[in-house]
Amino acid sequence: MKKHTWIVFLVIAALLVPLGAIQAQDDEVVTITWWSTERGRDTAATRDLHFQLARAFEEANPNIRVAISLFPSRAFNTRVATAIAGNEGPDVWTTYYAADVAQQGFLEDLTPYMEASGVNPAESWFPIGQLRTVYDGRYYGVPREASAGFIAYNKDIFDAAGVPYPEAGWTVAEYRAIANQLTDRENDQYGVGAIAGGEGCMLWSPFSFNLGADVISPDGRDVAGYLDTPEAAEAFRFCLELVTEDQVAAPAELQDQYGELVFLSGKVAMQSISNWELPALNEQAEFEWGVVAPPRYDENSEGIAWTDAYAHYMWTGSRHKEAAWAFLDWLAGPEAQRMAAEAGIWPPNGPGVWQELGWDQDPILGVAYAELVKETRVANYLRSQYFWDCVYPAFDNVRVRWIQNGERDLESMLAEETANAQFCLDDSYDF
Amino acid sequence: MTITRHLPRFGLRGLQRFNNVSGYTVLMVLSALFMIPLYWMFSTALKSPQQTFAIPPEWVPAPAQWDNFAKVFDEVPFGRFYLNTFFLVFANIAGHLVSVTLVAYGFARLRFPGRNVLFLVMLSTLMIPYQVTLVPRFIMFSKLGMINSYWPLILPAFTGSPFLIFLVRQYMMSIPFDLDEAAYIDGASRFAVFWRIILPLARPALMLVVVFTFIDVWNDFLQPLIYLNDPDMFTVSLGLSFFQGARETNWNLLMAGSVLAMIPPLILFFFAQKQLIGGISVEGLKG
Repeated sequence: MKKHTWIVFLVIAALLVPLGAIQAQDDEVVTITWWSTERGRDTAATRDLHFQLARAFEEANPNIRVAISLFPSRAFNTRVATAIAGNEGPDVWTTYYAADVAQQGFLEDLTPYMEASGVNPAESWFPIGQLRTVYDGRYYGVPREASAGFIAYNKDIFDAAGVPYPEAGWTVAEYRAIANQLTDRENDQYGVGAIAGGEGCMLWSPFSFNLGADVISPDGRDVAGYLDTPEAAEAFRFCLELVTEDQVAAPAELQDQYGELVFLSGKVAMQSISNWELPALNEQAEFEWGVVAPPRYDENSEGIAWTDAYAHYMWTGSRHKEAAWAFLDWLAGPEAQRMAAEAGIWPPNGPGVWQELGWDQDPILGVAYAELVKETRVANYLRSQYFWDCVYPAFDNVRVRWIQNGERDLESMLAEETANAQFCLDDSYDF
Repeated sequence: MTITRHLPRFGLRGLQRFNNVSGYTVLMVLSALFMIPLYWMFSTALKSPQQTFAIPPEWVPAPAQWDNFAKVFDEVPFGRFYLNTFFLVFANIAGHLVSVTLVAYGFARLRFPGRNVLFLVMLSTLMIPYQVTLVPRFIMFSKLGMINSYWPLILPAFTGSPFLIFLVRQYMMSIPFDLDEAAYIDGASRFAVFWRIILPLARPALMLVVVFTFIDVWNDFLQPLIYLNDPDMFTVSLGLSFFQGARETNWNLLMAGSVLAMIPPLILFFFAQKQLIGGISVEGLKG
């Protein structure tokens, strides 16, 4: 071989080697980690769904592998926080609350990724999906699913009393009147579910919103000006009087036996529930039941929906952000949403898949759908990581003082409890 | 006076029998009371969700849902979790037996400058809550590339446990030094004294180490949660938690799983109780 032939050969080789390296880099398979929790029931089905989702994504994206870790929900946040502290956080994780994590800088701002991918939350997601993933005007997550709160009613109890079933558009006054009508304490029958603990009155009840009470600021840092307003007092009074004046609430002992879903006892005419309780009702209720939208304040007001959504997040320390975003985008998209819905694990996060599956026309799910498209707010207890330590005791204390101690100066009680709760929040938020 | 007046009618043996019968009756009633939660767990493990919440409560579930136990294995890979936990238990027992006995022997039998100070320093680590060292330990194992492996759950056992070292050291101190001296006179090395004299005599204390380590590792929830990512490596306590969701709890399967999880510690206690109680009483007398 002549000298110049060698030179040409070497030049070509020198050009090909980097090209090959670039090609190899393009073909390189990256592995992202996805941490999530299981939900206590249908554990195997939930776990299988996670793996089905990951495998379906991998099939569509051969260069990305997804390593799944499913943890018990009991200590999931501890697991994530420890891993992040050790710089070993997951690329993607799924949880119900992360607003303060965003404030601490551990969540990747997904807004630029969404803009680049043409994701339009207003079109694709229900309102709650948008609210739950936004912090300070930026998107930090994508909604995993969407669920709504509504009122379950026992048709057998209504039929026996000759009371017509409630219909959408009813008011809180009608709700109270029906509860009184259907209460028969001598025969161990109650108009509404037990009102015990802080949850009983206000935490995740759509009543608080519809009675005009918003007990904590949207950023979760203030209760002063929220928990001590006349509207909050009216909402509290409505709730507490169901126990003391009307005596239509199921006793706490019944809730001790049945847990939160005391409606399953068959002795409660109406209870505020959500999509999460539907599987248990479908499997265990030994009576005829139906669901209806929560009552609005009065005939002149629009109802405000109680809705919620878990979300998928990306860690700021992720080493494979593009791959993690591709996965998040896919998880929030129609294919993954349809898979989850068909498996019966999570209701889809946007109206498209609900309509495609005909769920919006379903007698039960249709009620949830109607709530999901309504005006809504982030649930009180999801606005601050310190809610349970600082604000929850206020609910419980007011309830105890009203019911057990017989105190009736609600405004003073709320003022005192607000001051304590605000002090605790101010003390806790040092970032 | 009353007793002496009754003596002719019952006699001393009769009185003793009466005391025994009344004593046993009280003990049986108390035992039955203490057994109620256990019975409730077993009974709930055999119920359907409807039976669980039935009013009045069903003490004897009819029909009994024996397939709840099979469902536990369908819902989570419980068999795998069992094997994983056994592996960790045996590795930790091995680690503790090696490290704890050696360190305790040093503190109990060897004289060296600063021994008591070192012992106090070691004991003082008992006062540090685990949560304080959680993140630093995680970072350390992370830097060593050991996250998602069993090493963080095993290696610490080979560095001793202050509580167990304290227990074994106290026991070893109660063994007469004459035995060591006799062995030294016969030409035994320090290790030979440790291996041939002290260890066999410290068997009750070592049994305590085995039982405490077994129960500790078997029930440990936080450490496997923190260090393991791969669900195939999870342990029984993590597996049980899968039946407790944020909003829903599958009580029947949780109780069925708890019954299954309880069996190994129960068997261990059954076989080891004689030595265990002996060990505890000796600790109490001589410690």
